[in-house]
Amino acid sequence: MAASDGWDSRHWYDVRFRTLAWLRCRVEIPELYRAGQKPMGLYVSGTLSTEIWWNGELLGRNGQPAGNAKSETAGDINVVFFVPPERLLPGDQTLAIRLSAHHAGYRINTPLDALYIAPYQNPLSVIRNQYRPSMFTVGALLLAAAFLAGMWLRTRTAASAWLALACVFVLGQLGAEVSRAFWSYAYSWHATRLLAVSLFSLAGGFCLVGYLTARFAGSRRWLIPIVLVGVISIPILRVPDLITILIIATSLVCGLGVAFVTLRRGQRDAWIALIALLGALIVLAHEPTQFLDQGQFLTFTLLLLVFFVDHIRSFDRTSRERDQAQLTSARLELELLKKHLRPHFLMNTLTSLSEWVETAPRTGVAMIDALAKEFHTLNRVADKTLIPIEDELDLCRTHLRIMGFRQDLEFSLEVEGDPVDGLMIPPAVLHTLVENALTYGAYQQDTTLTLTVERGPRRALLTLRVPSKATDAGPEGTGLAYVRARLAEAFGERWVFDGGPDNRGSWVSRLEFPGVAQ
Amino acid sequence: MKILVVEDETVVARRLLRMLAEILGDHASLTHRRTLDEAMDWLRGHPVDALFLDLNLAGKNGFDILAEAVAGPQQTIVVSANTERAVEAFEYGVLDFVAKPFDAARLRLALDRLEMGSPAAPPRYLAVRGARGIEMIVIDAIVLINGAGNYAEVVLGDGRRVLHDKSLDALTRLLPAQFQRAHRSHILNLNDVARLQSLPGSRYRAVLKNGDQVPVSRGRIKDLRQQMI
Repeated sequence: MAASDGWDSRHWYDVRFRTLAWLRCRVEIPELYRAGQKPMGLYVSGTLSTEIWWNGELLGRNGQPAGNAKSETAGDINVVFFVPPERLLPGDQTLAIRLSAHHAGYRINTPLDALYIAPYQNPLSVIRNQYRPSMFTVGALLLAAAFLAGMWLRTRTAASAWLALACVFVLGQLGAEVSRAFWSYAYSWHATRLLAVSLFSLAGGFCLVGYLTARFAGSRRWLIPIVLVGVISIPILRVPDLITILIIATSLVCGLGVAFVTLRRGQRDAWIALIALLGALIVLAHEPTQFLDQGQFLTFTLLLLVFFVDHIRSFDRTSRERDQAQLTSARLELELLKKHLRPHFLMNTLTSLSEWVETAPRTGVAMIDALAKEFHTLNRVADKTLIPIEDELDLCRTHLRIMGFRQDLEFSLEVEGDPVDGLMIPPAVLHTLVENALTYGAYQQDTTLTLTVERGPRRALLTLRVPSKATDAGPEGTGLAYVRARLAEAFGERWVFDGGPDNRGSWVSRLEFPGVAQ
Repeated sequence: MKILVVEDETVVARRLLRMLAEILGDHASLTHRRTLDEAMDWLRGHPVDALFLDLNLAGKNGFDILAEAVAGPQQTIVVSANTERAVEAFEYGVLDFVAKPFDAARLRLALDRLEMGSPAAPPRYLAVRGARGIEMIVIDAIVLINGAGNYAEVVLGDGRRVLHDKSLDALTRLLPAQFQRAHRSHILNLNDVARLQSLPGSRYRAVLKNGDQVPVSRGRIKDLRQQMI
C-alpha cells in the first residue's frame, strides 16, 4: 500500500461487519499506466468475496458477495484484476467494491488485507518475494531433520528424536505459512491454514523444549505450560497470529527455564542453549507483530542449528566416553585372563601337575579337573561386569583347590552370615583377594578363609578374613588396582573397599557395594 | 655333591628333590628351604656346590634374590616359570636356567653344566658383596683376578679392588673365554694384556696395559700365546 502504488487512502473507513458492504474511494492513476507502458493491475488480498466496479462499470468478480453466508461464494485470498487503459477517465477514478466476508471463520479486524494498484502480474509472485528469506531456511532445516532422524535410528537417543521432530514441525509451520504464496485458495480456507500454523508452532515448541529436557535431563514438567497455552488459547482467543505468538513465547520461556535450571545444577554446557533462547526471545519481543511474517523462521532456524551443533558435540562426547568405558572393560577382561596365563601361576601349576601325574596319577587327574573348572568359569565370567556371587565363590574355591594341590595342603573358603542368593559382584574380585592371601600368606598348614556376608536393603557388606602375620598394608599387593577398577566399572562411585590387620592374626578385607538383586 | 633347593612350592620342590636324588644317587646331599632367608641361614654353616633357585618366592622380586645368590661361593641354577627373564639371569652369572615345567632330562643337562662349571650363556656381571650390599660389576671392567684363600680379589680397570666369594677355579669356568688362568693365583683378562714377556730361567710374565705385571706359569704360557694371537 505504498504511495507509489497510487493508493489514496483518504476515503478509507473501517469495515468491521460481515454483512454485504460497499467500499468506495477515489484513485489517482500514475502516468505510466495512462500511456499504456505497463499493464495496470488492481490487487485485492483478504478474506472476502468482492465485486469490483470501476468508474461505475463492473470490472470483475472474486467469488460472489452476498447478504448471507449461504448465497455468498468465497473468493480467492489473493486476486488481481486487469484494468485496461481504455477504461481510465481523465483525473481521479472512482473505485467501488461490493464485498462480503461470511466465511472468514474467525474474528477479524478487517477482511481486506491489501488493496493496491501495481503492474499486472501473478499476485502470488508478489507474496513469494515477501517469503523469500524464510525459504532459504528450508534446506538447512531439512538437512538437520534428516541427519537427526538418522542419528536417532542408529542410537535411539531421545534428544535426537525430539530435535528431529522440532525441525520437522518448524518446517511444517513454514510450509503452512508459505503455502499462501504458491496456492491461491478460496478465503474460506484461510482460518484453517492459520490454525495449521498455530498447531505446527505448538508441536514445534513442544519438541524444542522436549529436546532440552532430554539433552539436559531436565524435568518434563516444563512441557506442561506449552500444552496449556495451546489448549486454552486456540479455542478461546480465535486470533490466529496472537495464538501462535503466545505459543512461541511460552516455548521459548519454558526452554529458558530448562536451560537455567540445568545451569544452576552446575552443568555448564547449558549456557549455549540459554543464550540462543534468550536471543530468540529478544527478537520476538522487539517486534512481536512482524515476527511471524519476517523474523520467525530465520530466528528459529538459527536456534535449531545452534542446538543441532551442540547436540552433535554432546553426542560426540558421550560416544567417546562410552568407547572409553568399553576400552576399560576390555582391559579388565584381558587382565583377568592374563592373570591365569601369567607364568608364575600357570607354569608352577603345570610343574606340580607333572609331579602328581608321575607319582599319584589319581590326584593328577583331580587337579586337571580343578584346572579345567577354573578356566571354564573364567571364560564364562571374564567379559561380564557383574556375575552371580555363586559363580565368584566357585572361582575362589576352584582356585583354592588348585593351590591346595600345589602345596599338598587343604585350603578352603567358608561363607557365613546372610544368604547370598541374588547377590551380584564384579568377576574375580574375591578371587583376587583369595589369590593375594595365598601368595603372601605362604601357608604351610591347612588353612580356612572366611567370608562373612551382611545384606541390607540397599547395600551388601562382604568381609574376607584370612590368616596373616602382616601388620601393615604391604602384603596385599598388586591385584588391588584390578579390584578397584572392577568395582568402579560396575558401581561407579557407590562402593567401599578397604582392608587391614585385626591384631588377632588375620587380615580383613571389606567390600561394600549396592546389593543388586537380579 | 651338595645341593640346596630354594623353592616355596611344596610339590615343585618335591619333584626337584626327587629327580635330583634319582640322577645323583648316593653322591647327593640335598637340602630344601622355602625362603631365601632360610636358605642363607643354612648356607652360613653348610657350604654347598650348587643352589637350585626359584626366582619368585612369596611374591618377592626375583632379581634381588638372584643377586644375593650369585654373590655366594656356590654356583646357581635358576628354576623358574619366568622364562622371559632368562637372558637377564645369565647376565647375572647363573650357570643354567631351567624353565618350569621341567623333566628329569632337563635337570640332567643342568647337572652336566654344573659338573663342567661353564654356563649356558656368558655372564655380563659379577655380583660382589660389599659394605653397601650387593654390587653388580660389569665383567668387561675386570682386569685381573687374584686368588686369596677361599676368596678372589677382583681388580677393576679403575684400580678398585673388591672381594668375591667364589674360588678362582669356579670363576675360571664361569667367566667368558677372554678370562684365562695365567697362574695358580691369577686370572687375566686377555683384552687388558699388553704383552707376554720371557724372563731368564724359563720364567714368564704378562705386562698389562695399566703397567701391572703378573707372573705366568710355565704350563700356561703356550695356551696364552695362542689365545693372544
